[in-house]
Amino acid sequence: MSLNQAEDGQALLVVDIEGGPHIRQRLKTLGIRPGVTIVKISGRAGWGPVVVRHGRSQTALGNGVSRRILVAIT
Amino acid sequence: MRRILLMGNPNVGKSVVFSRLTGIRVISSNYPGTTVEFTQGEMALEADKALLIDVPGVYGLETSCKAEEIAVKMIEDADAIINVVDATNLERSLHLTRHLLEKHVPMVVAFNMWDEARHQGIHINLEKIEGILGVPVVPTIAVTGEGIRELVKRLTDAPVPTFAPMSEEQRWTEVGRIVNTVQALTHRHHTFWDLLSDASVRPLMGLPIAAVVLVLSFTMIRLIGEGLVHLAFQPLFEALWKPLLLRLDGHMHPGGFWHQLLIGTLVNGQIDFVQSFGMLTTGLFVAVTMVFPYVLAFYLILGLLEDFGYLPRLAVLLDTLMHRMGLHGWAIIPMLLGFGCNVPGILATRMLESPRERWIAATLVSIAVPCASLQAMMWGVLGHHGARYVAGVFAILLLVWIVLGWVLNALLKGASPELIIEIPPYRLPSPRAIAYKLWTRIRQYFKEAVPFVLLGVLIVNVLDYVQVFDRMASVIAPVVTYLFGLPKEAVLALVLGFLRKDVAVGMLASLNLTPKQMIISVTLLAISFPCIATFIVLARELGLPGLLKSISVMILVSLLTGVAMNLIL
Repeated sequence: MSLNQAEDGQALLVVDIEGGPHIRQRLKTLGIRPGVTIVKISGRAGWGPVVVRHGRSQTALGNGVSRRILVAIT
Repeated sequence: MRRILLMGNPNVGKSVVFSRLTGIRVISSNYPGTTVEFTQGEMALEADKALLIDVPGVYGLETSCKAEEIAVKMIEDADAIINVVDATNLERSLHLTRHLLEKHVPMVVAFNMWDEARHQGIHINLEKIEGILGVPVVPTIAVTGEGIRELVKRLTDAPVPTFAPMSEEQRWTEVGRIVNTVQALTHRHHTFWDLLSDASVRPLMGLPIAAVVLVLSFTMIRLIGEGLVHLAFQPLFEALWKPLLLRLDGHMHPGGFWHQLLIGTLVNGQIDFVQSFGMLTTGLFVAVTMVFPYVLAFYLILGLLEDFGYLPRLAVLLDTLMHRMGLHGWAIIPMLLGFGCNVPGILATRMLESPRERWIAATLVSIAVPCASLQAMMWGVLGHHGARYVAGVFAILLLVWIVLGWVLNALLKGASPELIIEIPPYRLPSPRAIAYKLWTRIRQYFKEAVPFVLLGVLIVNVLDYVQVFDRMASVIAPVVTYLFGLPKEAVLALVLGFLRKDVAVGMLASLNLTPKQMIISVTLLAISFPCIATFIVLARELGLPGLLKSISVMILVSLLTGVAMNLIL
């Protein structure tokens, strides 16, 4: 499933990132890459981007980006 | 002179380290991307001086964006690198560190925010990490200056690293391995700050929190600003400056050119600080007594919000709204800065990705965001009619902002890029850092704004003396009277708005306008031509075609809004 479909509060494993090298690069430098576990904090309300926590940092991802991040429930 | 680069990820405190090393003040905040162009300064290194260059924050050296390309180029002629690392976020920081080590330039690493790392239960084995990296590692707390001296000391004998280049995948694996060896985490319960952090990005809780924060901020700015005007600045001006002026007045011939220029027109035989319009009377009074207290209050509150880390959360909450305007949430930061002065607001649009976004944001700032000077004067001339009049102007400007953004987004080709931002943890602002930043911004106001205010008053007096205004007024007057319902004298003020908005509102004050006329003219001043400083920055940032487009939009919006207000109000 893609990140925007996951429930708030769920711990998720990043499986793959679809899209060009630019966006993969950008996400990777922020610490989001396949194999990393993230927790979705917000984004199900239909207003605003998806916010995830990974390690000790938090990142906000616009809806177009979050659709391209494929995750699995851990 | 030796060239030393200061490098690191965004928002790790490079700018603070830079000011510590060079004594040069730069604005830093708790969000990534505060340094949009690089700054350089001299630092003492042993007996010599070296050139320290504050490179904009980058996550890597893969040259996937402009900032990274610049960084890679700069490394080629560097003599040494100071790599600033966020000790609370080792994995990401070390990826850049590992890559820098492959460039074979002498290097030291500062593990910054050391106190916060300890506070978060992150333990880093310094000896081990130094052994692995092969270059000196120094724990630092840049905001207090701890570790900075040690950093400089170890820079002098920094070795040249000899790491072989590796692929990016290998580097991530390597970094993961390093982090596992040197870092130990103690489990930590969720604190109040974590809960607040989560709540403030969730729409259901976050939007009410945002509303409270914004209303509270504006109320505080108004209370502090007004308090300073009435309790400190105005009484001081009367007590200290007025006697000097009266003595000067006694020595001069009323009605003469110099008297008119410096002191202005006497009202009932007395100097009137608002209406006389001399450089030393109204000019100074407006700059120092009416506007400065609000500028001070605004930057104090903004500094607190910035360093606390609230602004990225606001960006997240407003992302959906901003997308309708062709922007993403991050664009709220230039808008907020614009409330202080449009110039830094427009400069901050550089943090946006596409030219389309930058143009929309810069145009919106210059048209619909009133600067602190203008707001201060709004309270001055409209406040006594009732706060609802001032609120009315703000409401109209907000409406213009939203509608214009929506229209521009619909008309311009292209889509708004996606938001990808890191949200920093909440941090209690350090009083020293806040005071430092406030002081820097105040100096800027006195250096860059106050001379323009005095120049504005000077030009008004000269033009008045040679009667240019009368001729100008008779040409533009029909537009202003028929379309906007304003007296023909208001033309002067609107034209003067090109130079300084606050001086222009000062002129309006002496015209005996009705509240309706006052609202219309103040709103038009806010929307129509940006002041000269903003104009110059707009030209520089947008280029000539972009500027012309922006100005055409501005004229159209001024006409439409003026007519609409005249018909509806």
